[in-house]
Amino acid sequence: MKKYDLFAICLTLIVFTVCYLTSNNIFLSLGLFVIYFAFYFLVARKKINKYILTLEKSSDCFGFISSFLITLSSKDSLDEAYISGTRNKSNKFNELNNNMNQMTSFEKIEYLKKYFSFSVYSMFVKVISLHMEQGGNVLKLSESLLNEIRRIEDSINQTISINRKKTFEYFLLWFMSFLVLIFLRLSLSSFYQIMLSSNIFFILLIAYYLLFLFAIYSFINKFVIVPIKEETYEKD
Amino acid sequence: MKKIKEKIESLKLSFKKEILTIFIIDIFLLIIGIVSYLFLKQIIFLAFTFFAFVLFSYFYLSRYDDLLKKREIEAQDEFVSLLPFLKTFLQNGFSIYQAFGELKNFASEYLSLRLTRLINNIDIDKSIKPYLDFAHEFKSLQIEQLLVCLYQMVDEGNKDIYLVQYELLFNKMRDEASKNLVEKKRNMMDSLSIFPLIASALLIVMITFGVMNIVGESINGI
Repeated sequence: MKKYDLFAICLTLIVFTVCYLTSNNIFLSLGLFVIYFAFYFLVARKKINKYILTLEKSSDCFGFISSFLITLSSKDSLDEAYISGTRNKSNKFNELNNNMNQMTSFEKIEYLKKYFSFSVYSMFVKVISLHMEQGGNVLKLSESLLNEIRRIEDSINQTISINRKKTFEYFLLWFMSFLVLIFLRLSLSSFYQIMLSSNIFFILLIAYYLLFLFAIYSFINKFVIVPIKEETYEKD
Repeated sequence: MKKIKEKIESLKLSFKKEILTIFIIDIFLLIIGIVSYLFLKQIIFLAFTFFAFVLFSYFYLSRYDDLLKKREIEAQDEFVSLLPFLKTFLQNGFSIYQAFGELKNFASEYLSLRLTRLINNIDIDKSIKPYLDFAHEFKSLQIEQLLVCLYQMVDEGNKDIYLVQYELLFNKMRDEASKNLVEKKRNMMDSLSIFPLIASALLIVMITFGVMNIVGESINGI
């Protein structure tokens, strides 16, 4: 079980407990539990997995390109450059790499376009094919490509740091909001029971929990945005 | 109507589908209004749904302008993101004409069409006009400066001098674009704090209703 799965299950259980505590209605609490659970496994989890995979792929891609180009400039051998590029990569990449044993180094680089579906990788392949045709200093040829990779890496790192900070702030604000509701329920117990008997109060309470679900949905949609597009427009 | 149709078609959306969507939702709203009126016998529900009908139609039909603006911004961002590739091609000995041709392979369909138009216009007209026409489509002064620099590179032939000039402009634009991207993300995440605020407002409304309910009941009890 992954860390974020555990976090989602804990959050669902917290909502279930707080909902039961504040509504005294087991059916409503169970209904919300099912909705939150289904939302996580059918919608949110897919988005988070895709986000993590994109980050992993981009990190592998940038590392691969940098190591490859540096080794190629010093040793002038595609095979050695390819081996250097594949060091310290994710398991998914290593799996894919192990399945390409029969190919030549250039064929492997070409094939990896399917995995590294970023336009910078397509450009990298173009630069390598140009280098093979024309020769010259590969580091000089790919200077702006390497600068661009550094720029994107920097943006991604800043985005990750914003995500961390804002996640903490966001859930802290919601925690406060839940705390107000729990205090209301526990400290003004008899007053709260009378309020709960009102239909409008009960409907607004349901609206509160649905708002929280919508807030999480919006949060995830914004959280998973990364400053690199996965699809490539390379047509040849 | 003709203008809206043109806008929808330029966004590559189906005019029929869009009109059908508005029609279905409007009919649905009207049915809700009529049913509420028949059951509750209050004209306010009919007026409210008619208001919702007008409001929805207005916002749905006016969203095409925003979509067109968004597409323009995306095309500009995309062009700026392709500049490192343009520079790589130029450094690798490609002519500007060839470099734009290669760049098409990395561009989206919309930008690719513009690049094709630029290449075709360069074929016909060797002056600065095709470059300026292309730059004016983006409404960015920096892109215009960049295209002028690229034209000078073609016109005066001294590629290295203009590459330095290009590099200065290009670095400024790329740095700004990266900064904007991070800033956009930060603003996006900041905007989320509206939800806990709405939740707090909802809690206040809940308590107010609860208190009013208790006060009402105790007055009725007296």
